[in-house]
Amino acid sequence: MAATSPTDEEIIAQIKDGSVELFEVIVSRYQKKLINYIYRMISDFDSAMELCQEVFIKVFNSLDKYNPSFKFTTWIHRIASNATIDWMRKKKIDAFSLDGNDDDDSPSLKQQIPSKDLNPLQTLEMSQLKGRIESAIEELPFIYKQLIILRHINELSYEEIANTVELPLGTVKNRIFRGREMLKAKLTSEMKREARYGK
Amino acid sequence: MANDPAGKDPIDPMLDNQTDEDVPEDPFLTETLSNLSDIRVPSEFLPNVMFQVYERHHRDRLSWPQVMLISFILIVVSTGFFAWDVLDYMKAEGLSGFGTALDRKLDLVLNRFEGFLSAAGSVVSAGWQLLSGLFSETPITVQLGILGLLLIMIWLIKKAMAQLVP
Repeated sequence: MAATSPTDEEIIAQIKDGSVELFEVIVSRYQKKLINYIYRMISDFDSAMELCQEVFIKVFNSLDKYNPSFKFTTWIHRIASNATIDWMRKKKIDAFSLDGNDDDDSPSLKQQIPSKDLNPLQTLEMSQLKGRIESAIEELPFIYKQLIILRHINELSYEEIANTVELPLGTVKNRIFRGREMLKAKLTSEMKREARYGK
Repeated sequence: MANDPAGKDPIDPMLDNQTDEDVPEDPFLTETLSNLSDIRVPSEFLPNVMFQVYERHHRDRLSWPQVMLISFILIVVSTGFFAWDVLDYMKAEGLSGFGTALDRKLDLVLNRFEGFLSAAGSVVSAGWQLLSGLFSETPITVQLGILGLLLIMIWLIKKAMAQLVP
């Protein structure tokens, strides 16, 4: 019989009791999600790494304030979200700018591992498609981008997102719907433009 | 904390107040987005975080008697090294009294501007590290006050030593 792995909340309880080494499990579980979230929000790989480290240290230092009746996933994402917003404020990044980067894809994203079982041409097409989607996400206004990433990349539920960003559930659903529509519109116009000019 | 970093929200507030609206899912877009490549996490990320976590944890666990003991050991060790240095100076200069050698050595070190700067810098840096570790929850003004007291104590010790050595 396979042993079930302990929940985040159980691990946190043990860390609070002195098993600090278990924090490694928390970092392992969340590092990819948080780095993906932060990087896609700020589009700066080195700063994303640094900020993500700060987030984990902040989480560790604030464990006493964590209320186990709330989901840990929500709590850690909220800390990451607030830290990202603070970083953007410090850097005076206009969170609502619609002007995005015109590059097809960022350097770090170009290095991603291609999907298996595809021939080289399909791999190239898939890679180009991913690049276009990444660009379209990057160009979304902050309020939509944040929610789209939390929903579709970090795979949080609507309720978890609402708790993370401290907004009403209806607002979150509306914004995600609008964000998706904007994303689809951007991708459609991009593809039409390419079809017209025969890229 | 508010979600809105710039304090403005282009969403229609009437729409925002809806709470039970079902969002039509878009399976194709959902599938496409979930297949986006993950950003690779460098292998050193986890050890770096854990190093900082352990450092923080051990620092938090230090009790006052332990801090005092560590401080005492450091003072004894540094005094020992300084005395050793003075003894070397005594031999090199052919001096007979330790007091004379200590007086000259102190003058030599402190009269050189860079030496003084370096010594003062080290004391301030060490004092600051100690204070920020021990009094991280204390207001900055109190920390500066304690640092000031530390410097005054060092100055008084130096003055007392100068009087002891003829």
